[in-house]
Amino acid sequence: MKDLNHEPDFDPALEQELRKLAPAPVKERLLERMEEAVTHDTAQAQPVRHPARNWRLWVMPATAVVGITLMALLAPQSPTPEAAKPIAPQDSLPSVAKTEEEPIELFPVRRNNEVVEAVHEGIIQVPGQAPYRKVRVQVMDSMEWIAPDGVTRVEYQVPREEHLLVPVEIR
Amino acid sequence: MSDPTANWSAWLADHSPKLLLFARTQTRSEADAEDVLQDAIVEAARKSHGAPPDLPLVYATLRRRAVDLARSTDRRTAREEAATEVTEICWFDDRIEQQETAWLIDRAMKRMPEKFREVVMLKIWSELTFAQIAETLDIPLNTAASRYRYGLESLRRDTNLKLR
Repeated sequence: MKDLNHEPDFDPALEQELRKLAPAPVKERLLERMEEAVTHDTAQAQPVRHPARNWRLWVMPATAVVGITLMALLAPQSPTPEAAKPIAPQDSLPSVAKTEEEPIELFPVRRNNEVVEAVHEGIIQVPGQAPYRKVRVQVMDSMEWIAPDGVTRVEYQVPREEHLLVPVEIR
Repeated sequence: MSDPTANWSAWLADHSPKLLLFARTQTRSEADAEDVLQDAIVEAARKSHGAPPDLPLVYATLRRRAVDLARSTDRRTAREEAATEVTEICWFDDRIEQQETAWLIDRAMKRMPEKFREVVMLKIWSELTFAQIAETLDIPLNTAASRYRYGLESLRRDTNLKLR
């Protein structure tokens, strides 16, 4: 063996002889199966990140805010019987001006992590290690934003599940 | 923009034979070796965000999955495995003119203690460095080197290969 990676020679003649042998080829069926599995999986898989760092979770409330703001601006201010009446052209000018209001600014007012359910799923015994108690915990993470006027309020909830292994004390 | 599946086709064609060879040394049946190999590649691909991963990562993942599989099936299938322990699948390419040598090495490798065999496999046919082997198998570097030496001695003794 050559001194690649500064590693010692052991039995150069035998090593050279062994390297002449190639591993057995992989069946075409297995290659196709693996390629399909890996391309399908990586096309669907999303990197697992903490919910707070996942930008998609922040896009959802932001989209909701935009939607609510548009609805608030475009909807009639007071759905009175008079609003249903035909409006004269000169009367409609002020309402057009109202649609140019600035977007509502929201502030976070509440964040909560509520344990919905904790289920004891038994004892796990790993050979050579201490036993563990397996506990499945379901948590509901929720956040709430509110506009300064108190009228617009956005809330979202994200459920998550954790599997905890708790070492069992043996006395 | 290049097709990402084309990268995977080439990567799998290049590396699958030696990965499967290692998987065979870590499992008890051909079906287990194929399943563990596929799972390890998928898991390693996830860790590398869909790109073909570094080989040492795949070897380490493959070994961990094989250990997990062995633990989960240890009691249940011990009797079945004993009955099918002797496999007729040759681990090496025996279609070439070196067919006799391939079978000789194949039998010697299958008889070799596992702790020596996995190091020899990774060093000779996977071309990993001792540092990478040590990391993959979670053993000290000196242990990897000494197991390799013992493995080669075992091979030479068992095969009586006529070498220069």
